[in-house]
Order: sequence, then structure tokens, then C-alpha cells
Amino acid sequence: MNTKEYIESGILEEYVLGTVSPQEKREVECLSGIYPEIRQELDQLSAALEQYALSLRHEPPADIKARLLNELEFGKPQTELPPAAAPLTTPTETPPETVVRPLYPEEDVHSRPTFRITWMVAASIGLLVLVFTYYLYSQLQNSQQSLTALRATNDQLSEELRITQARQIQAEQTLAVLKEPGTQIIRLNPTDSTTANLATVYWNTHTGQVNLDIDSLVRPPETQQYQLWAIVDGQPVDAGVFDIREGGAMVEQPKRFLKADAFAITLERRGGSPTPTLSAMVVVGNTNS
Amino acid sequence: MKRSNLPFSEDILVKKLQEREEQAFHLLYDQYSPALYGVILKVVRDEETARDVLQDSFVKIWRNIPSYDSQKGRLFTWLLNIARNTAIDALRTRHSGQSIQRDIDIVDSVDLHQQTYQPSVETLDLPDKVNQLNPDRRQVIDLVYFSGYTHEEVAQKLNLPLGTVKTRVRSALQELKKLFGT
Repeated sequence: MNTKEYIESGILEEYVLGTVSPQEKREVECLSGIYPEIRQELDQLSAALEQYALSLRHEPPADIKARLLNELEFGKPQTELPPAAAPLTTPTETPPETVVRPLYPEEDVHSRPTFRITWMVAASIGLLVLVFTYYLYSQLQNSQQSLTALRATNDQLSEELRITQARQIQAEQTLAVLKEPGTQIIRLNPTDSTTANLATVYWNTHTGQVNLDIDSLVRPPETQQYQLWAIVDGQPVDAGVFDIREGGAMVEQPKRFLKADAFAITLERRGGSPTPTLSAMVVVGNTNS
Repeated sequence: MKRSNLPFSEDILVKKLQEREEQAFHLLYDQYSPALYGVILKVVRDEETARDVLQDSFVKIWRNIPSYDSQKGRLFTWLLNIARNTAIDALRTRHSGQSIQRDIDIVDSVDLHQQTYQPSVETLDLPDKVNQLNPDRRQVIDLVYFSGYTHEEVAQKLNLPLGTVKTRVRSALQELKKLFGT
């Protein structure tokens, strides 16, 4: 670059007078940093204007400095001056330092009252929410436990009611049979005399109706069934097979007998036998007739 | 007042100013305020306004001193530009309701006054080299530097071609440089 031409172009004069455009300003500052001769010319022009300004010197009113000292903010130096500069520093007097104290200590910004109160309020609210949540949770747990217990009790009561109702129906049926005129109660006793009163036959001599009430017969294997027999004129007559059912309800037998000497129960193969297996006779009971 | 009057170098002063040392402010103010005030007075031509402008200028200097870079220019020149621009702004605000022609007339009338009434007590000790300057050349420097006119405005005011104005500005500064040459 031809620096001589650039210097003679007059742009440096415009620069020191402040009439250049921002772009030209950057250009001059950039080039003066690169070319010492441009920098030198610029400094000489600046110095000339400085000298012109110095020739205009006029002592300002004394109160302006005092006002400025009031208005401006001063601070202590952040870093110490380099030691090399120390010999040059010969302050004759040290002006009183303007101590600037922050309203609150800077290092303890977290202890400012507003900050502390805000923090405490936030923490308190958080704690309350936590406690309330735990309270609600425990309430819910209690409710669920109570509900489970109540359901269990309810189920138990329903079951008991059902059993009771079933027993009542059974008892009513038994009572109704017993109330009928001509009904005989025949207790069937075990043949081996070990346990008494295993079953009861309610036999109505007027209608021939036979009702069987099982008390405590042992449930037989699946391949076998109990069979009721009526002993008529010394001969056993089939009175029907039956199963042992839960609850021991009274069973009305399909066959009717207007005459019978005794009733007996034998254990037969499933479906019944035409003739009783006497060795398998479980219970027997005589009629009053 | 010479630069050598400073108790330490300009670099150290700038560093201390950038660290906002009150002592450095005292030195800066004592050293430069008379020259800045003189320039401001020359621009605004009113003591009351000049006081305000000087105060505003130092507030701006104090606010902007951290961004001052000695690589980009001399400190005094930087200070002068702040004071000069603040003064020109104040002048424009004051005459904002008036036409530029009227403004120039005011400048002219006071210019004549100042040329006959010179120098002040403070400038007596300096050789009045400025007065050795060619009056035409001095006029363009004053208009551009102290009144903030663009070259086009100067050309319009002096009824000269723009090229002539530019040439005259350059030769005026070159002459000034020779006058105060070191």
C-alpha cells in the first residue's frame, strides 16, 4: 500500500476533525495500527489540534470539580499496579477514599431479609403441602383397610344368612312333613351299633310318601351310591338311590309305600341294584306297623 | 501546562482512571479541564452553557474511560473529542428552533468579537501561534472543528466549491502541524 498517497489524500485531517464516516473511521484506525508512518502523521495532526485547544485554555469555575466529585462514583482499584510502574508513582497526597458501602453486604446476598423471608415462606408452603399429602395418604390407607374389613364382614354375614336361610327352609320342610297326619319317624341306626341316628325316614302311612333325612352318612366313592330299601312282607323293595349332599337336606323319595316293615340303606354300585347287598347294609330301622 | 507535569506516565494515569481511583480523577481534571473548558467556551460561547457542558463531558469521560484504548489515539485527543461533541450537541439543542443560516450568523458575529478580543489571561503565556495561521485556513478549522460543520455546509456557507474546502482544510491542518511542530 502506498502510505504516502494515503496520508496526502486528506482523510487523516478529516479523521482528526471528526468529519469522516464511521466506515472511514474504522479504516483509519485499522491502517494506523498497521503502518507506523500513518500513525505518526495522525499523532502529529492530533497534537497540533491539542496545541490549538491548549491555546484556548480557560480556567473553569471552581465549583464544577466539587459537583463532579459528588456526582461521580469512585472505587478502590481492583488490582494493584504492576511493580515496574511503582517508581513513577509519587503521589504527594492521598485524597480521602470515598467508601461505597452496599446497602447489604455483598458477600452475603442470601441473608437479605427479603430473600430470607421469601425462602422461608417457600419452604413453609412446601412443608405444609408435604405434611398434608402424607395426611391424605394415611387417611386413604385407613379407608381402604376399613373397606376391606367391612367387605369381609359383609361376605361372612351374607354366607351365614344364606346358611341360616337354607337351614330354615330345611327345618320348615321337615316340620311340614312331620305335621302331616300319619307320618312316622323311623330312625335308621347303624348295623354295627357304633354311631347312633345316622339317618331318619319320615314315612306317611296314609299317602305312602317317604322322605329321607341324612344326618351323618359317610360320603361314598364316586363309583358307589347309597340305596334305600323298604322291607315289605320280608322282602326288600328298592326305594331309590340318593347322593350325600352338602347341608343334609331332606330328600323326597319317588316311590311310595303304603305298607312297610322296615327301612334300610345299603351301599351299592352307582345306579342301584335290583337286590340289596346285605353285607353292605349301613343302617336299618323298623316301622311301628 | 505540559504533559510532563503529570506525576506519572499517561499509561499509568489511564490505568488508574479505568480503576476509578479518585486520585486519578483529580489529576485528570486539574490537567485537562482548562483546555476542555476553553474549547467548550469557543463552541457554545456562553459561560452558563459551558459550565453544564464541562460537567456533562466529565461525566461522559468517567463513564467511557474503561473503553478508552491508547492504541487507537491519544488521551487528550479523546478527551477533546468528547468535550467538543458534547458542546456541539448542546449548541444544536439550544438553536434547534433556528435555521442553520441563523446559527452560522451567530457563530460569525461572535467569531469577529473573539478575534478582536484576545487573548485571555490564561493564554498569555503561550505564544499566540494560532494567530499566525492564515485567516482563511483558520476559519475552516473553526467551522469544522469547533462548530461541527460538514465540508458541504462549509462550502455552502463560504460559497466555495467542495474541493476547495477540502483542500483548504487539509492545508490548514498541515500549517497548524508546522506551527506546533515538535
